[in-house]
Amino acid sequence: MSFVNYQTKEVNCKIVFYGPGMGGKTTNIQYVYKKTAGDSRGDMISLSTENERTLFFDFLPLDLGEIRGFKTRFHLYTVPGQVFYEASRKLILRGVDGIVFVADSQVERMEANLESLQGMEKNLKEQGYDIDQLPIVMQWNKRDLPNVVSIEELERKLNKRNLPSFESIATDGVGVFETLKTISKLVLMNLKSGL
Amino acid sequence: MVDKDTLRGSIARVLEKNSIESTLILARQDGVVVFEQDQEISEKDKQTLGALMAGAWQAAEAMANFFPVEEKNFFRLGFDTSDSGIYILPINASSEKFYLGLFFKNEINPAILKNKLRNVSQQIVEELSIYFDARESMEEPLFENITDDEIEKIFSFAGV
Repeated sequence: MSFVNYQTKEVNCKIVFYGPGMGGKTTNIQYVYKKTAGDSRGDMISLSTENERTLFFDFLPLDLGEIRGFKTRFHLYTVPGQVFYEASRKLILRGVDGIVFVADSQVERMEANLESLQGMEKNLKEQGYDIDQLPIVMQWNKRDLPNVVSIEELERKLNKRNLPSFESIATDGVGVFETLKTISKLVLMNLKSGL
Repeated sequence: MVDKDTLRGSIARVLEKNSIESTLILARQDGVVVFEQDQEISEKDKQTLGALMAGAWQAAEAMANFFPVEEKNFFRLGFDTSDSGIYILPINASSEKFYLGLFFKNEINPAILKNKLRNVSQQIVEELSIYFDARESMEEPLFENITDDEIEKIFSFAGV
């Protein structure tokens, strides 16, 4: 749930990167961290295992510039993708303003993508979200790998709502900011007035 | 209308009156910080602390749910040594949940400090309720028709 403060002219928004394990969620926000100047972002916090798998969440606070007089602040989170961390994923979705679903384009990961997407829809529903009202952007990651599913098939199987989607190679930063800009725009336009 | 600075001032007075000088952060359930006492914490660290505090509480709460206890029990979360550490209390105000985190070090008697915090938490609930109850519920979009140029501008820092 976003926090708009008219007195200090600040908006705080929460964006969650969701998707199957090893799909590139952490890589996305690591790239954002790498490309942003120190005064625009805080330290990136990763609660991860020894082999760098996300255990609870990654967190990156990002101060963007002003828009129509309001200072915009985004909190980027990733969820742990591995199947058995469902409880953590539910917690991290609390108060979410927008989601980037990072799908792994590899043929053998299609089942995991579908499972993760269904899990996300179920978790959002459980928390009272209307999935049709929540800004969501799809990202087709790992497009540089040889065994990828076609974009048409990804769209057909994972994007039945016809949400905005982007191809990406998060390790090289391809598509990362395009995705983030789009979800940021959708989230900002979805904000309701309030104190 | 009650503004955020008034809320800050009110909570600061409650803490001062009760001689609580340690670092303290009050965050919403989603980790957004609504009050902090400690000018030495940078804005970014403050946000990170808020996110971690909310995450730590919610993880502990999820664990505790495996061993249900009666609702009347009042939970608190501690991570501390005999003189330093972190102590988190939940606060419910205006139908919202908040976390009050105390960060202390070199305390001769942390138990007294924790007890003081528990005692002032109700006063903080009252201040929060005044503030959050005063919010107007609006359904109008805050920003309409944001242009791609405006988005490009706020991301210009990244040079992409």
